[in-house]
Amino acid sequence: MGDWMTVTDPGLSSESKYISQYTSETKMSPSSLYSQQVLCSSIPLSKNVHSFFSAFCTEENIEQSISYLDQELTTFGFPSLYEESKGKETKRELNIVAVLNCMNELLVLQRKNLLAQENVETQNLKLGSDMDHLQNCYAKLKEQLETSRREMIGLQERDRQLQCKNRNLHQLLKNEKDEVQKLQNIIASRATQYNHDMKRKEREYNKLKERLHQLVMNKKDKKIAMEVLNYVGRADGKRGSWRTGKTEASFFLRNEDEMYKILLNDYEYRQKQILMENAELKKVLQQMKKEMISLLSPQKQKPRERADDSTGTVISDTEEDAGELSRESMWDLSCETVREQLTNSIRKQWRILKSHVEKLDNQVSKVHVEGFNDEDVISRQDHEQETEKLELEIQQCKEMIKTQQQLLQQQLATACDDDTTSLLRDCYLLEEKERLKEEWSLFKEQKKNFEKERRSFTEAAIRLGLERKAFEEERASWLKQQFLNMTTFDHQNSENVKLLSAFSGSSDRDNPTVHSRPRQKKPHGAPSGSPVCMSKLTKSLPASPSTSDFCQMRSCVSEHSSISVLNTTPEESKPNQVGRECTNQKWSVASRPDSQEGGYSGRSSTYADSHVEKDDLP
Amino acid sequence: MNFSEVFKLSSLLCKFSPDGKYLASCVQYRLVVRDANTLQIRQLYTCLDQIQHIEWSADSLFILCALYKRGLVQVWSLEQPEWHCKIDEGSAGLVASCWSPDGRHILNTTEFHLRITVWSLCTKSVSYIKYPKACQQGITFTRDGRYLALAERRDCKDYVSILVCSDWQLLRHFDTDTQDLAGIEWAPNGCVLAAWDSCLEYKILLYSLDGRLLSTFCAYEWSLGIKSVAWSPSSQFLAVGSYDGKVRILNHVTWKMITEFGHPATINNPKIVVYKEAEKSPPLVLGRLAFPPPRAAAGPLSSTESKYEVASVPVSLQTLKPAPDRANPRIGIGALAFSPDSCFLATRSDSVPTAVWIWDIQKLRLLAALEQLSAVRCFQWDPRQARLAICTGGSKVYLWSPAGCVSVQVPGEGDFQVLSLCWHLSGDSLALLSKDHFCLCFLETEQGVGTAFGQRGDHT
Repeated sequence: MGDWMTVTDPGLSSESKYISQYTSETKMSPSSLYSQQVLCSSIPLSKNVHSFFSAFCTEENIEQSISYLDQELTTFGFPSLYEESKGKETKRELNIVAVLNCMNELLVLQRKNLLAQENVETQNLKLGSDMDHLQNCYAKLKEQLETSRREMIGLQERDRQLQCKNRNLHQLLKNEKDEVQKLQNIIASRATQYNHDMKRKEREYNKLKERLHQLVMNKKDKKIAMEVLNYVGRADGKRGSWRTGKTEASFFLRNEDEMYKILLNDYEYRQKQILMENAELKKVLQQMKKEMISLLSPQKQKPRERADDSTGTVISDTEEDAGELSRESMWDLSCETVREQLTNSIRKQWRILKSHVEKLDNQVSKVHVEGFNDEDVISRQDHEQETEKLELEIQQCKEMIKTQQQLLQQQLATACDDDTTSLLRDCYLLEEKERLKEEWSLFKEQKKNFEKERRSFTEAAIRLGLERKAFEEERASWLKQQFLNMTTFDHQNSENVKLLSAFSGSSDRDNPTVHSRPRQKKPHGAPSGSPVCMSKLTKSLPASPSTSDFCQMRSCVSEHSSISVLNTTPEESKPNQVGRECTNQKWSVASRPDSQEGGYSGRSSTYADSHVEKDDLP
Repeated sequence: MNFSEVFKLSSLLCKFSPDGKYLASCVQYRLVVRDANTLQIRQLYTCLDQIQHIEWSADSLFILCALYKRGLVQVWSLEQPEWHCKIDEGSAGLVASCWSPDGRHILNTTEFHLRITVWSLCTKSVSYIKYPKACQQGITFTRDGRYLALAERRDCKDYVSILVCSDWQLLRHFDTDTQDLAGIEWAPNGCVLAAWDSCLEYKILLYSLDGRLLSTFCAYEWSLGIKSVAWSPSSQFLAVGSYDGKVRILNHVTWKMITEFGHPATINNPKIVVYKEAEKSPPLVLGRLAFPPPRAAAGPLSSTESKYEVASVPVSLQTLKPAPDRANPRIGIGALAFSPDSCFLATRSDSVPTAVWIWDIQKLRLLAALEQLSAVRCFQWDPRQARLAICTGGSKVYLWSPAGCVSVQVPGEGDFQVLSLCWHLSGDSLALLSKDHFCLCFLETEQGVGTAFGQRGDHT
C-alpha cells in the first residue's frame, strides 16, 4: 500500500504538470514561452518542487506571471484577476480580492481533489481485495470442476463396466433360458416317449397276462378247487338263488333301485341337515333382530324429541316390519321371501345401530357443545344449581390457588438457589396462568349463556306484562261497558258493537275472530235458538240488560283474552241456564268492587295470569 | 393301566374279532383264538403252512388264513371247530385274500393280478372278476357292505367297477380320468367314492355311487402328488396328504378345499402344545410309586424311562433330509387318521418321522404336536373316544388325548418292542405287537383313566 501511494503521487503531479504545459503552449503567450524556458531550465536545476515554484515568479516578471496566471485562471473559468478596465488605454489594475478568492477557491478545490483521491484509492483497494477474493473463488471452483469432471469420468467408466456386466448376464440368462427350454423339450419328449413305452410295455404285459390266463385257467387245473366240509347258510338266512336270464334283469333293476334309494336317502339326510342348519341360523338371525330392536327402542323417545332426528321414524318403520314378520309364521315361508325380508330388516337395523353408535361417538366428542345447547332448554332451577356448583368450584379453585401461592412462598423462603426458584416459580405461574385462563374462558362462556337466559326470561316477563296490561284494559273497557249498559241503554247498544269489533280487531294477535264466533255460538245457540252474530243478537235483545247478554259478553271477553285456558267457562255454563245466570250474577256483583279496585276479579285476573304465564312459558 | 402277560406271535398277525369277543393270533402255522377279556384260549387251529394273513369275517364267525406261498386259503369256523374249508388257487397263485362284507364270500387275487376269484361258502359257485388293477388300494367295500368298488385297468386306461355284493352283479362301470389310478376309497356313508392318481400327478376324483363325477381336485402340478387319503368318519371331510408335506381338507358340499395344513419343522405359535418325549434316569421314587401297574413291580423296570415335557415355543423338530437319488423318498404325509368323532386329525410327515401332529378340525388349526425320541411306527385312534395310541418300535406305548399325553413302559422281561398296535372295539384294551410277541394293555374305565392322566399330568 505504501508503495502504491508513492508510485501514484509523482505520476499524478507530473500529469497535472503536463496539462498545464499543454494549456500554456496552446495559448502561446510570451510569458509562457519564457516560463517554459524557465521550467525547462529549472527542472534540471533543482529537483525540489518548492524551489521550482519559488523560481516561477521573480522580481522582474511579476506582471508577466500575473497576466499568465490571469490567463490560466480565466481559461479554467475563474474570474479575471484584473479589475474591469474602464477604458482601453487605462492599464488594468490587479484585483486583490479576486486573487484571494481565486486562491481560496483553488485551495478548496485542492482539498476536494485530495479527498476524492483518497476515496478513489480506498475504492481501488477494496476492488483489489474483491478481485483477489474472486480470483480465489475462481481457482477453487476450477478445482471443484476438475474433481467433479474426474468423478464423472469414473462413474461413466463404472456405468460402462456395469452395462458390460449386465449385457453378459443377459446373455447368460438367455443361454440359461435356452437351456431350460431345451431341457423342457427333452423332458417333454422323454415323457411322451416314456408314456409311449409304458403303453407298449403295458400292452405286451397285457398280452402276456392274457396268454398266462389262458394257459393257467383254461387248462383244467385240478388244483383250483375248494374243499368245504359243508356249505354254510347265508348270513341273512336266505338261500342262494339261481341266476337266470329273466331274474338277472330283475336283479339289475332291483340293484339300481336300491342304489338310487341309498343315494336319495343320503341326499335327504343332507337336505335335512342343511334345513336344520338353516333353521338354526334363522333363529339366530331372528334373535339378533329382536335384540337389536329391544336395544334400539329405548332410544326411540329421545330421537323423537329432537326434531331433526330421522332415526325415530325409521325405527318405527322397522318395528312395524318386525311386527308383520312375527305375525306371519315366517318359518313356513319359502326361503327366498323370508330371507329377503329378514336380511333387509336386519340390514336396516344394523344401519340404524351403526348410525346410532356413530352419533353416540359424535356426542361424546361434542359433549361440551351439547351441554351448552341443552342448558338453553333446561329450567331455571337447574341453572341456579349449576351456577351454585360452579361458584363452589370457583371457590375451591381460589382456595387451591391460595394454597399453592402459600406453598410457593414457602418454597421461595426456603430455596437457596435463586435462579432455579425463580424459574420454577415462573413455570408454576405460567401453568397457573394457563389454567386460570382456561377457566376464565369457560366462565365467560357460561356467563354469556346465563346472560342469554336472562334476556330470554326478561323478554318473556315483558311479554307477560304486556299481555296482562292488555287483559286489564280489556276488563276495564268491559266494566265500563257494563256500567254504561246500566246507565244509558240506547247508547250502549251501538257502543257495544263498536267496542266489540274494535276489540276483536285489536286483539287478534293470537286468535282470529273467526274462531271466536263459532265458539260463542255453541253455548248460546241453544238459548237463543238461532245462530246469529253478536251484533244482531245484542240488537234483537230487549233494551234492558239481560243476564244472558252479560254472559255472552263475558265469555266473549274471556275467549279473547285467552282461549285455551278460559275455554272451560263457556262449557261450564253450557249445561244449565240457571247456573249461567248464577255465575253471571256473581260476576256482575263482583264487578262492582273491582271497579273500585276489588278482590275477587283481581284474584281471577291473577288466576288467568298464572295460566297465561304457564301457557307462554314453554 | 394293566398289562397282560406276553404271548407268542409271528408276522404281527393278531386281530380282535369285529364283535370284540375274541382275539385271533398266529404263531407260525397255528391260529390261536382267545377270549378278548380273559385271554383264555378258545380255539386252536392248525394250518398247512406258515400263516401270512388272517382276517375275521364281519359276523365274527369265521377266520380266514391266507398262505400265500402255497396259494392256499384256509377258513375256520368258531362255532364249529370241526368245520373247515380250504381254497386252493393252484398254479394261478395268490397275492391277496379278503372277506366280502357278508362273511360268506372270499375274494382271492391271483398272482399278476390276473383275476379276482370270488368263492362262496354257501354255494359251490365261483365268480371271476377280470382285469383288476394292481395298485395300492384297488378293492374297497362300502361300510354297509352293499357295494364293492374295484379298480381295473384295460387297454391302458383306468376303470372303476361298482359291484353289488349280494349277487356280484356289475352296477356301474366307468373310466376314470387318471394316468395311473393309485387307489379308491368309499366315503363312510357309502355314497361317494374317492379315486386318486399315482404319486406322479396330484389328482383326486370324487364319484357318486351312480358313477357321476362329482368333482376333481388338483392342488398343484409338476410335482409328486398324493401320498395318503383319509375320510372323516362323518363323511364330511376328505383329508389328502401329499408329497409337499401338506394335508388338504376337502368338504363334502362343494368338494373344495377348506384348509391346508402345512407341517413346518419349527413351531412358533405359543397356542400349540408341543409334547416332547424326554428320557429320564429312573429314580424319583415318590411320585412314581402309585403309578406303575402291579405287574411291573414283579419284573425289573427297563433302565430308561421317558416322559413328556411341554416344550416351550419355538420348537424345531428333527427333520430328515430326503435322499434325492432313491425311489420312494421319505417326504410327504405318510399317514393320516381321523378320530372317531371327526374332531381331530392325526398326521405323520415322513420327513419329520419322530413327530405326530394333531389337528383340531373344528378350529382348523394345529392343536398339538408330539415329538418322540424315535420314528413313529404306527398310530391308531381309540374307536370310542378321542384318544390316540402311538408306537415307535420301542418298549413304550404313548397315548394322547385332549387332556394330555402319557408314555407307558410296557413291562416284561427283556425288551418288548412295540411295532404295531390295535384297539379293541370298546376302547378298553389295546393289543401291542412286537416281532415275536404280543400283549394286551387294559386301560382303566373312564374314571381310572382320568386319574391316570392326572398323575401323568404331574409329570408332564
